Amino acid sequence: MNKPLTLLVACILFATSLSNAQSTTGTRGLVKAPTARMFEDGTLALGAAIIPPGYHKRTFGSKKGDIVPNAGLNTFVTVNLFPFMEIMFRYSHEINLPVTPITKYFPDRMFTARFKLLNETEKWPAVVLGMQDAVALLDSSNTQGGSPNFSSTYLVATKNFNYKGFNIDTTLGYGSDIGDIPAKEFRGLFGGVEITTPYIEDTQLLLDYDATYINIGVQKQFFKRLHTMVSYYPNYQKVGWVLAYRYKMY
Amino acid sequence: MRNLILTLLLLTASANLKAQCDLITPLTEEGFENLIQTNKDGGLQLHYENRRYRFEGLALQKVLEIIAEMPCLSNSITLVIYNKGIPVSEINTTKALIDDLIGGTISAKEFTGSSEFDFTTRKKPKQKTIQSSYLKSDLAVGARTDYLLGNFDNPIRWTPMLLPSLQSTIAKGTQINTTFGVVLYDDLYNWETSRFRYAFASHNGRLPGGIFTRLSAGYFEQTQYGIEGHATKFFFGDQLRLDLNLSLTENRFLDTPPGRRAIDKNYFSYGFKATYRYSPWTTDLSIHYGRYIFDDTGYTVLLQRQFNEVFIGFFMREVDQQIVGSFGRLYDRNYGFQFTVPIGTKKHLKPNYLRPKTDEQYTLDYNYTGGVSIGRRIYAPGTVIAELEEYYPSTLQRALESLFKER
Repeated sequence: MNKPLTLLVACILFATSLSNAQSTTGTRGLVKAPTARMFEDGTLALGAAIIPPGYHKRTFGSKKGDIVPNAGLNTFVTVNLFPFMEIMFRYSHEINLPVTPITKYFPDRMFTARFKLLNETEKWPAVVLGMQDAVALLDSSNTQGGSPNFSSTYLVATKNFNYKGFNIDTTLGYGSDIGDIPAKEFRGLFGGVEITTPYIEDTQLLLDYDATYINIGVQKQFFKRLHTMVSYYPNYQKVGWVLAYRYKMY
Repeated sequence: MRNLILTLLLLTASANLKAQCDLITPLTEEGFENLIQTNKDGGLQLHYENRRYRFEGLALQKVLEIIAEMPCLSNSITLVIYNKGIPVSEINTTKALIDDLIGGTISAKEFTGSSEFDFTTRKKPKQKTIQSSYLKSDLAVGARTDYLLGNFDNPIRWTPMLLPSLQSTIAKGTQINTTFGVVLYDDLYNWETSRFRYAFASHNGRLPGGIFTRLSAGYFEQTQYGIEGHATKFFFGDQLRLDLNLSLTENRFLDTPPGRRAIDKNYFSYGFKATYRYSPWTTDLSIHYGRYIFDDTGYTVLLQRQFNEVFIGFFMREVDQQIVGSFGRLYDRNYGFQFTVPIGTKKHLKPNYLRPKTDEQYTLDYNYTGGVSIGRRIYAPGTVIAELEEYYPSTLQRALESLFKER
């Protein structure tokens, strides 16, 4: 193998290992938009994400789908069940809203499955098919709370580049309705970048467009297991965060 | 005089050789049981049972380390692994491979690729067993959580409980299990009290042809009182598994909680299960069809991945009854996931007449649609068939590959 090619392969491998983002939705991704990256087989992530007031949407009742003044809390468990498959189970809570017969509020629960269709090569990006709120696809009439709140079916591609020591993981995806299930998130084109600088270890800058808003984030990993991200939502000038613990079961 | 010296030298050398290859002493000191070491056809056979380590993979790693420390002359080594005195799995390897694995010369993948892992067809040798596991008891404390998503009055109805249990192997394959449930809080059933959950005796066996069997009598979970039987046969190593279960029980409490009347009805339940294991991913796809213990008939499909001691599975059940879930909603099918995680210490105290220990696993079923009252089978925890996945050849291979990678 010639030297430039060796360097390119090394950069791709190096960059892949640095790509670490755990999005606010609970799956691998940028701030919110999903990517085509997956953790290693057998990786388990337990985490929570704060969605700031003015950004979180109500998941029940007559105001379902409206932005509400309460903050949201996504609690999730994500597992790479197979080398090609990531699954995520999430409860989405609205903070400061108790479950009572008067509020008729109940936290939303959802299940996401993502399948790796293509691995990244020198020329081609990694490609993932994502099915968010996937139980709705199986049994939409019986889904708790009626119609799904976060459903989305998307294809996303991610390719890594290296420029002057900076690793740039670029993502582009497209989400749409599937059957009778409307895409509530990532409808249309979405994408973004994850940039790793050579100057600060285990730290990345994230920028994404989730098909509705632009989001910015900075993330850092501690002890290879603890993941934190502070996110900023320019549209509402609000700050959120993600905290996740990762564990390798094998 | 010359002949006498020569004879003495030979005798000394012979004694040294025997001592060099004594695996029994270090394994006994480590707490392994039912130990037999034989030399047949120039090969060494070591039979052992582990109750010291929580996970059979960890126990196997320790056994290999002990063998590597010993300068045994036999190159061919066969390890036969027991549970409740029943030979279950075997590994055929060589001393050189073990030395290379422990010395780091070869990877665990190379070791497992060059050795043979399978269920054993061997019988227990006639030699005297060293450090028998019989008539020793474990006093363990586990935990359990029954729950169901509730309604707007009570979003999560749950009943957590502690499960102190006493388990003992009385003789080869024969065991007793008594488990008491200490209810910490109950707003799921609203009648549950601290009471016995299990009190049964089982006989585990292995018939010719490698069929594992179990016959149990006593009091089981779901307030079922009666007898149950189970047979398991493997094909192509652990790739294909067939199970047959039968039970004849009635609904009865050992100690009826106040205000709760047991239903006086006999239940004959049965089931057939076929499981395909994809060994590289230690993943099982199974389908169980049968009549379950609450008069419901149907099937359960389960896709489950095993990560050493962690199990994560997704199930779908359909029975000839509608299924009541949270908010009183009715479902035709029951979807959900289940997981089992290890709890407690990785290494227990040495087995003794009465040994306190932590329980080894915590299991939870999550019903995404539907409730908990369908598709229930008689379960006999702690028996050989209930613990078989730990002894699967592919589980042991994968365990070594991950444990030696960690070092």
